[in-house]
Amino acid sequence: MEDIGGSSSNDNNNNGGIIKEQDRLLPIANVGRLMKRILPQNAKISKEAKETMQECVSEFISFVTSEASEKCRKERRKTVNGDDICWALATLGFDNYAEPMRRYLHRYREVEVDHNKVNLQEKGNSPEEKDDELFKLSNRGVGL
Amino acid sequence: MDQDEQDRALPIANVSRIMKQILPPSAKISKEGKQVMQECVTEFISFVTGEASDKCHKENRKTVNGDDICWALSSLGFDNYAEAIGRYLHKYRQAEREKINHDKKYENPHINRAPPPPLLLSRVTRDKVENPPPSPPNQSG
Repeated sequence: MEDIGGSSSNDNNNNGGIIKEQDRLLPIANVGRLMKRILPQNAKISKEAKETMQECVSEFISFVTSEASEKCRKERRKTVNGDDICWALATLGFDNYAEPMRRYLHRYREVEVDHNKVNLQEKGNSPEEKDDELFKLSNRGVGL
Repeated sequence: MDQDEQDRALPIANVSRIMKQILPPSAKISKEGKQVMQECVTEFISFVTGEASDKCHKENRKTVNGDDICWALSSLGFDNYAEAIGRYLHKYRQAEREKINHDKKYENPHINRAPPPPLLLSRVTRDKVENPPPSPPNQSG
């Protein structure tokens, strides 16, 4: 017998039952790799820590997306875009995330335009600015 | 470049699938919407893990465990996450113990561990967040 959380609602489940773990979570290898990048070299991560982070991060995606979805619903739009995600972050109190993400979006759009131009010339393009953005974000020690 | 980008981010297809699970069936997600979420969630992992790492460092431990992640969430202000994740860990450990007992009893190495139930935190967290309504954000159109 499965114990489905506090709520009896199955709205979140596509097939009325538990969503398969591989569909419900991000891959544990990728999550583990990202965790390792921020840890000192000799540190280790237990399996349960990785699985805990898997749950946590999937929940975070749902939380922010849900807020963005509500905005789209009120404005009668069907497509959630980058600005909606940034708005949702700010609304939920993740101001330190919203600001860099807006800058990311701005540069993303610049790169997209450049990329379309460069495609015509068949040249490569560097994503260094994105790295810089994340680097600054990490170093600033985002706090809520 | 491709390898760096792959190492840096979580697979966008998986991120997108999780976003879709919370959206109404008719909703769509733009490519940039997926990419912003991809960046954001990657940073979130680093943020929480960094906090957990500091705790391990101070306590002279080398292995980050589930409790450290819970502590980090609480320390960073994600109390609703910490509570729900704490309950998850409890059930996780129960499931692990049951697996061990079952394996001992039947000596069957092929038994699959039943995954803990999903958290369904979004609903709970939304309700709590909405009680003290957030001040309207400054939004430049």
